[in-house]
Amino acid sequence: MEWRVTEELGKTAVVSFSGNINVNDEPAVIELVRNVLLPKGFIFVIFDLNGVEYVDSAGMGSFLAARSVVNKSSGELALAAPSHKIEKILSLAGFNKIFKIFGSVEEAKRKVAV
Amino acid sequence: MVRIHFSFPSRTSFLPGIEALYRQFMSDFAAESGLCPDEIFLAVVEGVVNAVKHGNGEDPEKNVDVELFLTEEALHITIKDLGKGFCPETLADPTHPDNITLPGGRGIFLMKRLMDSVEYHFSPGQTVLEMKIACRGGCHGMEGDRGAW
Repeated sequence: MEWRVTEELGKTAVVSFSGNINVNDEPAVIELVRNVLLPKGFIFVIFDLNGVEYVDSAGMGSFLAARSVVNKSSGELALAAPSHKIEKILSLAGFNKIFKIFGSVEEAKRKVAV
Repeated sequence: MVRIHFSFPSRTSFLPGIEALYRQFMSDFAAESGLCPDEIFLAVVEGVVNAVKHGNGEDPEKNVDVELFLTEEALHITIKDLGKGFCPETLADPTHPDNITLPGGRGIFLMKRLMDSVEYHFSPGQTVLEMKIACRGGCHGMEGDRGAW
């Protein structure tokens, strides 16, 4: 997994991921939010999943942990631009009921960005 | 019929190597099978990670064994660890409102949704996971339409 902050808009950061998000990446996703984004005041976070090949159950767990971190700062974590296959897996796990999942980063920015 | 077997120490850092072997196997032997390599691989990952972490406790002295066995009818996947097993019936539904925000507990749930059959067999000192998916059945959803998830 690789990530980079691709946009900074007020209190909102867009983070673009590529590769796989699996059990080996779980700590990095949480540290990204806790140690990189929150200290800079980014409490609204959009994970751009466009470049992600697959997310396993541990990767999904890292999304939940990251969400919990930003929620404690009165922020929000949204997911954007998942491929069809990743969107299916997220829905299968019920993540469409607890996350805002947008078809594109632009849509996510319109709905989430502060 | 074609079969591949590999054995590796209990470290999740071997996942990229496992993916490379799996992709090569599917490319060489299963390209015309009608199988969906991405969703099957996710089931493999979940089974392997469970074996490494929960079965063998990430003890590198204990190996995890993976076998892919492809026939004209189905792909059979066997994953063995040296753990003492668990009780599958006690696993909670991770999509239940009480559980949906818990960080774990989705691995076996996903395997069962992605494969046609998922069975665990326990014996003293060994846990064997057997998964099967029929060829030419289409996909469960990630790469096509095999029916409801």
